Amino acid sequence: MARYTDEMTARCFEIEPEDENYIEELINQAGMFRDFGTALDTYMEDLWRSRNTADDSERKNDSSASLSQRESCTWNEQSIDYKVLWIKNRYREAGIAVPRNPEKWFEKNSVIEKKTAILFCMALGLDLTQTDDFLRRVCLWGRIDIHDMKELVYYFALKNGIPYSALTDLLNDLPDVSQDRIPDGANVHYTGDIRCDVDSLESLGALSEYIHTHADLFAYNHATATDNVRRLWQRISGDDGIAASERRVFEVELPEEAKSNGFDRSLSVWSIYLQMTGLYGRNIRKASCGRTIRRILDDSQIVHTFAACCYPDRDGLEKVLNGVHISGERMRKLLILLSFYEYLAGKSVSNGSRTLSGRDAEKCRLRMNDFLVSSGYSELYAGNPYDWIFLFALENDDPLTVFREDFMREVYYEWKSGQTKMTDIR
Amino acid sequence: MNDSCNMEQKHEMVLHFTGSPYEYVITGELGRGGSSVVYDGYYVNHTGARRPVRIRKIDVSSDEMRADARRVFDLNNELFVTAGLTNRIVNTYEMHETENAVYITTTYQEGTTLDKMKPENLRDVIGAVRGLAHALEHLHAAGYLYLDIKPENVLVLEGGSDWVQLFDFDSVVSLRYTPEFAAYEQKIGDISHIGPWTDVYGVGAVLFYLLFGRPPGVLDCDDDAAYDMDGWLFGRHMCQGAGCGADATGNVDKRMPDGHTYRDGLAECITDVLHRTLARSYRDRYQSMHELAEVLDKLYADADESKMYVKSGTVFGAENIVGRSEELQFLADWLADENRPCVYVTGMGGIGKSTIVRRFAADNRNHMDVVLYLGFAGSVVETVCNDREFYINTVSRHKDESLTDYFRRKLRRLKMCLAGEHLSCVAVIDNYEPGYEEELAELINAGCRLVVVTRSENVPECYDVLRVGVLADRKDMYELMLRNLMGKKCGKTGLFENAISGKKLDSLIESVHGHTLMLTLIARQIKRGYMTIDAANELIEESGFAALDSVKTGCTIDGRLLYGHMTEFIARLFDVDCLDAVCRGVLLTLALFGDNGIYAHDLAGIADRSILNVANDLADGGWIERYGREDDWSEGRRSVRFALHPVISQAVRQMYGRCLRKDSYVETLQSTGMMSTCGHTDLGIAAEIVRRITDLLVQERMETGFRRWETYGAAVANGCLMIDGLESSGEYLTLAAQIIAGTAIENEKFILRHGRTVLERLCGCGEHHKSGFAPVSDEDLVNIADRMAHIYTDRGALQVSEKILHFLDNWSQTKEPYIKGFVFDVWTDFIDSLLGGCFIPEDDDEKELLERQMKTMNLAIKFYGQSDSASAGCRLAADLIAKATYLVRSADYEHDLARLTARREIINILNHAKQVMDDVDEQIVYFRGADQRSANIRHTDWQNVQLNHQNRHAYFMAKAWFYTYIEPDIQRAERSIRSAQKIYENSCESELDLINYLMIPAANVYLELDDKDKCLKWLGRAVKVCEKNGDLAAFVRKREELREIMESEGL
Repeated sequence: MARYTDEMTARCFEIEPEDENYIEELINQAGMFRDFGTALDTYMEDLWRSRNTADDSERKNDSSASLSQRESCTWNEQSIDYKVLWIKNRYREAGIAVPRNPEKWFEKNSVIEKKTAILFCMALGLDLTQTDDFLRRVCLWGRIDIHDMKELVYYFALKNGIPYSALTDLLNDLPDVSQDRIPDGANVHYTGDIRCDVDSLESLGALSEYIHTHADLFAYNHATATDNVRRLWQRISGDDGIAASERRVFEVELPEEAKSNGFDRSLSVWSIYLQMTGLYGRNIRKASCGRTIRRILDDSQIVHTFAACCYPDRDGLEKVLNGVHISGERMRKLLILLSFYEYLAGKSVSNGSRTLSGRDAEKCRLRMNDFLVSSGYSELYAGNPYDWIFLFALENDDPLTVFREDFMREVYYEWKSGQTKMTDIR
Repeated sequence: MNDSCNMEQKHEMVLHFTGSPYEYVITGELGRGGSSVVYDGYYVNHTGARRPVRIRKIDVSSDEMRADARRVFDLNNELFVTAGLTNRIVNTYEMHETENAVYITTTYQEGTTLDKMKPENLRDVIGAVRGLAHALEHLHAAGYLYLDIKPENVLVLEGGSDWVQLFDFDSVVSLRYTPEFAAYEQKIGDISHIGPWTDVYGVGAVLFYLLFGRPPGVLDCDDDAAYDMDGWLFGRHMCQGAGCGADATGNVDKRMPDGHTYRDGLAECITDVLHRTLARSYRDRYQSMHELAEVLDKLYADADESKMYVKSGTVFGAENIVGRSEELQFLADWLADENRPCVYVTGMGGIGKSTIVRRFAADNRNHMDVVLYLGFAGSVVETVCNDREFYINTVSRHKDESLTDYFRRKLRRLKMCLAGEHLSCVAVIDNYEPGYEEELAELINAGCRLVVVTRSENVPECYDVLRVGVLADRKDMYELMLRNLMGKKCGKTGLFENAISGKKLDSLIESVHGHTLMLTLIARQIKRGYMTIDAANELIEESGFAALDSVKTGCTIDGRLLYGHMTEFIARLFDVDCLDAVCRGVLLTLALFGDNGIYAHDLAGIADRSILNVANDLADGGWIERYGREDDWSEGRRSVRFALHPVISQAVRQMYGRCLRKDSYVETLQSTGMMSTCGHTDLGIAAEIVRRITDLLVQERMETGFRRWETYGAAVANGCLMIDGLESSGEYLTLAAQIIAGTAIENEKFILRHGRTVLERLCGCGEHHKSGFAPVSDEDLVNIADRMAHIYTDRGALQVSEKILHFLDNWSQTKEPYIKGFVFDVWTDFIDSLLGGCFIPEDDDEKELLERQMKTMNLAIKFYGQSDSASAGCRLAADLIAKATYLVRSADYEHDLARLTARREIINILNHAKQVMDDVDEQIVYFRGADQRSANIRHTDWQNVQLNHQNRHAYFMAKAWFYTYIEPDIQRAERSIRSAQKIYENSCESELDLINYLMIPAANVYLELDDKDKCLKWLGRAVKVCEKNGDLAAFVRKREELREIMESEGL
């Protein structure tokens, strides 16, 4: 696993804007991210090796005869069928319902749901830390979300070594809670508060009682992340915000929706969003329909599918600002984008130059990670295609421009040329 | 904080452990963590005494957890006996194990954990954190990191906020942490970068929590994070009940109850500590706990409110200061030399003294420990005793304490404070008024270095002086104006590119003598009034810079932003109301004399000699400008001159504009015909001055022929026009008339401006001498009209001239014969101008004009003949000579008979004229003596003397013409010209008249006599005179006229 991470990290340094085939390199990079199946294989290779160094007595007790025949092979040398069979056996042993079509995990561009991944970890007998690590590096998901009832139960089980079989009653008895807005600051119950409460519980019964008694706490989540997004947005927007200052200092062309005197008044969320992502200017005609850029991200060669999935957009931002629930993945990506822009644009305004100096890039990265970790998400990971874009940008002197021009605008031009070709074909 | 970790209700639970001789009674829960609970309890020892203890119960569900608990217990014991930690960590007694838990008993200490602590002041907060840092310092020295610093783990012992104890060493053993108080490397899981700096973060997080009531968030860890120091939490705990500013909802004023804040820089120091502890990157934090502990020790000392300190004032340096680099360098040099205790910064109001000093203070703030910026409060004692501006935390005035006593006591404390901490202190006293030098010396003795900003020029010789004048470089003035004209858009470089040429601003600058504030105001007025520079220049030339005051604008005076009219600002800046009537009178007097002012000796001549004392005092106070060197004796008198700056002049004039309403003025004028009965003392002084100047002017004219008082008089007349109440006074009218009568005709601007005013005032108010007093005589009025008509005619404004003459016609209907004759004289001159010196008509129009001219001339002669005054005689003679001249030059000399007839008439006329002139001479009484300049010669006599001289000149010129046309005799003609020249050059005061009445006629004579050389010679002399006076319009026109003459004659 570490090798893959190192490789992806190294790519951040290897590709340089001055390279002749710079864009091609970026496109190539998008194709270098491994899919779930490959990541799973790599993970299992390590796990397999560690398991096979266990006591002989354990191996001898293994009921799978075919398994014992292949014990001398590595995981990667096994066939897909073998792997699938092995996995299913683990589920059965753990008393967990076997997922449908686990063979699809090994297909190209496969994805896995978070719940399935957590149960897989339980089936493998991983502990809480290992599970979080699996979720982050293999599935590219965030950690177990304690603010989600089911995931809270899994968390408790993993932390206390409780088998899945003991959880079924509790899982079946969880109260129904409909999503609600995050309450006002004084009344918010954060994930950390729940963790503190739950960590002191000693039994599943106590957990069940806790969940039922505090069911209303699970009507919302990502409270800390929401706070952070709002704070960042407050700094970015407004007449004296960073976006306005950037427009003034660098004479940024007006986002296409702004009026001619747009510098003198606050712009909409959408306009500021376009400014942040660089999708503005005379050469950029309307990149969107319905104030979303989703369609230009579809089938992009330069932005990996995983990065494009749940890509931060205006809709998500407005929902967060209004306290409406969005998925953890969407929130995480939004947090990355906002913290990236807020720091770099703010720095460039105060320095009068977009070029970073000293340890600014390092500080930006640390800060972004701080936002993520404080909000309960995993830090930036070079193996995550979305994270990689920002990590790569930060290795350049002008990260904001790299992000805007080498990714976002390239995506736009890519989409535009595709549209043109389609038109030609017709 | 974690509100969900509720304390259990108190109950008595008994614990009995195997192997322990005691039973432990649980009395309550102290706190609860992830896997442990801390109880308060006691045991009863063998003597029956109840010993309080704390019991920590750790839930263990595995052997590993049990082993960790054991390690924690052992570690605690080990650390307890480590030097420096004995009293800083909780002492553990026993450890007991049950199936699912481990119990550790520890000492019981009275105290409060930091999460429950309610600090009363900043010192308590820093004390607790400092204690924590010292405890950790020893822990680190023992080779351990704590890594789970949070308020719940720190016990503040009773009796002192700076003695703390650490407990719960689980994190030391098993690497656990609390996310809200965990450093970045902990949250990320970057084990390899955990070190002492990780605990440094924890201490910073606890400090932050104690200050702001919450753990630090992500943004609080930015290296440029700003912290709301007003939000210090502890003040809210302290301020309860009435008198603390709490409103109905219970919200309290954020300031401390006494309204003051802490010593200088404390907030900055705390901010720095937070930055250096909460930094996200471990490299940016204090690298050791020792380093942090040292900083906190100092902070603890600084936070001691009982320790005396002096609070610096807030100094905002002017951002847009232009130039002044020399002044700033002077002050910087002064500051660098500690042996110089005091510097006076002097200059007139609005010149930029305070701006310079503020800039200096802001730029050099780091070189001064304490800076006091004090506004002078009427005396040095009151200034120092003003606690709002000059604050020492442990000093306040007692109820029965006099100001002087408090002043002295405060200075003693100041001295103690400065000396005790070896602090440097600079005090700026702004707007100081002299007279309190002893108190200033006391302030210096207390350890302050002083910057005294004052308008007064009275500076003790032992101190440094910085005299602030106008901006030294003209380019700086341009820049100052352009910045205000063009706003912030005008960048520093390329200021003149595509911008207004600096040269165009020169007139504006000159109008206010480069006064700094006025340059700013004028520029703003122009901008807000949407004027062009040229239009502004015209307005100022016409009516002074106050003419720009049409719109309101904003400016900063003495640090206060004001909005209003320019003249209001001037009045505010120079508040003459604070002066007594005599001083105001002197100011008004000087305001009359314009920019050039008046020599001290002359000032004494027109008023009581004591006026010089007043003037000197005002000069020392910065109201009056004093020029020249007192040791410069020129013409037997000192060359010291007093003048008012045009800006102060404006303030003074405005003052008098308020003093007398126009309605009452008109009423007064109509009833008495005099101004000086208005009853206003200071205006009365001014009116008296005007009268005296008139008398001196006339006397000088008669006795010496000098024009010194005429120069003053002209300035005063100009000054009167700008003062409501004086501009229509009889005194002014008299003065104006006298100057118009005597000033050279080329002084057109003055003649027209004041002539118009005089005519409007006198004729607009109807009869003005009901009481018999006339500020301007009929003769003077005609004289004024004559000169005005002459100028307008010369300029080609014939319609205006005719208008004046028709007015004279109507006006003179009821006048005495002399006046009537004078009016016809004016007509004659006018017609003569229309004829352009022509005597032989070339068309019917000219013929008609000549006839008309003769008619008016005869009428003048007729009326003059009816009067027996010397003045009439002079004018009669003049007209007779003019008639003779006309006859000489217009006669048809082709025929001898005509010539003979004309000859007889001309001779008779000339003889008559001569007789009249001789009679006039006899009428005038002279008293001439070598040493006597007597005022016995009446003014009118003096005028008649002048006229008679002119008549004699004209007489000889007429004779010259006679000997040219009637009895051609070149020698006699030349003799006549020489005689005329002799008379005219001795008596003529106007070079233009010399040209018109001597040089041009002489040239004409020679031309007629066919002597072109001599003709050219005379014309050449005339041209030279014109070129010498080339800046005057009249001479420019005359030069052109001469050129045309020479061209037309082929010369």
